Amino acid sequence: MLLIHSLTAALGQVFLPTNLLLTFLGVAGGVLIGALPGLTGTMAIALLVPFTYGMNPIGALVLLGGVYVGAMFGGSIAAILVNVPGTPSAIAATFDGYPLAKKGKAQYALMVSVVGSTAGGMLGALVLLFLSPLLAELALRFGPPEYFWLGVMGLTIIGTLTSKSVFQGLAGGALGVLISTIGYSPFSGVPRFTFGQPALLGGVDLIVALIGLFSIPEVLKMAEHWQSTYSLARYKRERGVLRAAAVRLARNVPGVIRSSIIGVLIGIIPGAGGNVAGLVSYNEAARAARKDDEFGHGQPEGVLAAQTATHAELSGSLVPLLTLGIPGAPQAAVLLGALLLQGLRPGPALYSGPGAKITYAFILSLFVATAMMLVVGVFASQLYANLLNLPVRYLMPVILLLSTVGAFAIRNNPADIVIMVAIGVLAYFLEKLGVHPGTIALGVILGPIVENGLLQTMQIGQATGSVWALFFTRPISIVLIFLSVMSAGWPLISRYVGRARRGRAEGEGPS
Amino acid sequence: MNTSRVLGAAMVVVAGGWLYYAHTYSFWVRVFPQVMGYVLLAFGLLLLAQSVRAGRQPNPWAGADYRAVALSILVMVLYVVSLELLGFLLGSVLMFMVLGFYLGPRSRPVRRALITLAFSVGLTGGLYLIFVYLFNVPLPRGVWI
Repeated sequence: MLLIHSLTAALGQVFLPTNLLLTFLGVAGGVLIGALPGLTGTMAIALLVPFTYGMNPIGALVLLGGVYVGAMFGGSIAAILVNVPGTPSAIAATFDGYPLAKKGKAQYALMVSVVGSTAGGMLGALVLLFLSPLLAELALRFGPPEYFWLGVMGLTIIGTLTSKSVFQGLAGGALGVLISTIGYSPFSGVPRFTFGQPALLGGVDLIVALIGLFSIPEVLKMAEHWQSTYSLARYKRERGVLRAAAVRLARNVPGVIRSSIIGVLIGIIPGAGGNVAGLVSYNEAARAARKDDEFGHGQPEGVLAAQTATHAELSGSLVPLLTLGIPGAPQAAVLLGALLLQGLRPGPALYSGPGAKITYAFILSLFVATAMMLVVGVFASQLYANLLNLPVRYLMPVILLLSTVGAFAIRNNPADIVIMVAIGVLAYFLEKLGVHPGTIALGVILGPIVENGLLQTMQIGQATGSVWALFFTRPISIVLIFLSVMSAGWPLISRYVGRARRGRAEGEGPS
Repeated sequence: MNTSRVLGAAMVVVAGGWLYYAHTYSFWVRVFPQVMGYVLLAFGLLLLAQSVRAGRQPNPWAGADYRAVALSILVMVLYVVSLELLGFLLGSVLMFMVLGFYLGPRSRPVRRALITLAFSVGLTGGLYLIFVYLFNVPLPRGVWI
């Protein structure tokens, strides 16, 4: 009953003209940002968050949701036309998208990408709409020990999924956690790790850290290759390509559903973003197909599998974000900053009471944004392609400028600009050493969750005289512990399985 | 360059610093950072152990214009430091001019400088007006403006 009531109220909000306009601006701008190599959706959302401070929560969220959706698709434009993923999520779209474009089928590839993205986006949003309230219900039973283990699980997964070496990812996560301990300690309120700097007393603000982590490294990476320009594949207009792409989609419903399920599941896992979803889905599609050799040489199914999964991943990444406050992808991490700025604390409260209208309006706006992306993608992909070569000498200062303004605007504190740039430059060098900024961001977010869970559990345990029992014997905790151990041990297991498989293949001789 | 060795050593140093400070705090304040400090120390040491086997790894800056990167970092630092003195408007326009000039073709310098100047003044001024008058966020002012 409450669900239907919230949904109807939310529908009214989503279709308000101002909110429709904000969604459209988000999508149209998001596609551009996604299409430009070097500008990522995560960065765009981080830079926009400070601008949404004065807006109402629904307006802010539909705008940022639109950017998220638009940028995910925009990335495939550059992937197909210049063989460079416009955003990390579009990596898998290059494998078959660019070969298709080189064969003169650029428009067809883009249409396959847009219909796949739409299908994945819609299916993913459906899952988000119906799965997240159930998970929120479950989250009601989470006490301090469960949140502790949830955070620990998130931290162990970071290491296993986002970096080449497990230890690089885990080190990034741990470093992020240490950054989160700067400032007043929880409960006791004692300042710590301020190194004598009064500016650090209030701690490192999450949004300031996210702006630094996701924009400064990109600026410096642009400087590395500022002279390179992208040569576009020839774009030839053809009749009936959209129809052909839609037919391709309709003929492969099982594949689309498989890709969407992969996307949603990987979305839910903290730390694993759209790039992982696209790659896994692409591999599965290539494996399921008989004519394996076609993949990588311009197989439209490849583009379809990659884009469907990345867009399903988008909604999946919001499931743990909205219900538990644990982002499932870097973009969701930045959206967490936007939620907190609006005074919305993720968790079961977002699904009941007055907050429910905002949450459902945000979820429903993802359907609207996906539909708008379809229209923008079909009619304007070529326009965006013309902008791919915007000169770096303008992009870099603009991003630096927006980062500075954003970092300052959060608390009107000049010291935050210094902190933002310091974290950003540090993140650039760490990325060179194999630590992805996303792992550090997740550490900064999970740190307080783990610490609060730990301290509260210890204090309750001391009062009841059973610290160990409280940590290790609650049913949900046991499941979370099991998952943490599994994810920490996964690289070892998969390496072993891979070796076994290779060994068997070698035993059978060349095939 | 052996990236795991550099990373491992850096992590050991950071963890050491955290552990050094942590032991001065009382139990409830230090328990979590201390545990995480040891965790980071362990990962740092594991990375160092790994680096012994790894040998030389590809240079992460291969093919990059590292002079442009160094200049950009310098400009960032100077920009941030100069905001107190120059203020947001002057500092930003100056930052624009330096980056726009260095990272561009060498032909027709006057024309390019004028375009960059117009673009940067327009963008910086526009942002300034939006934040100061619409959002009531007083962006940093310098000595002159």
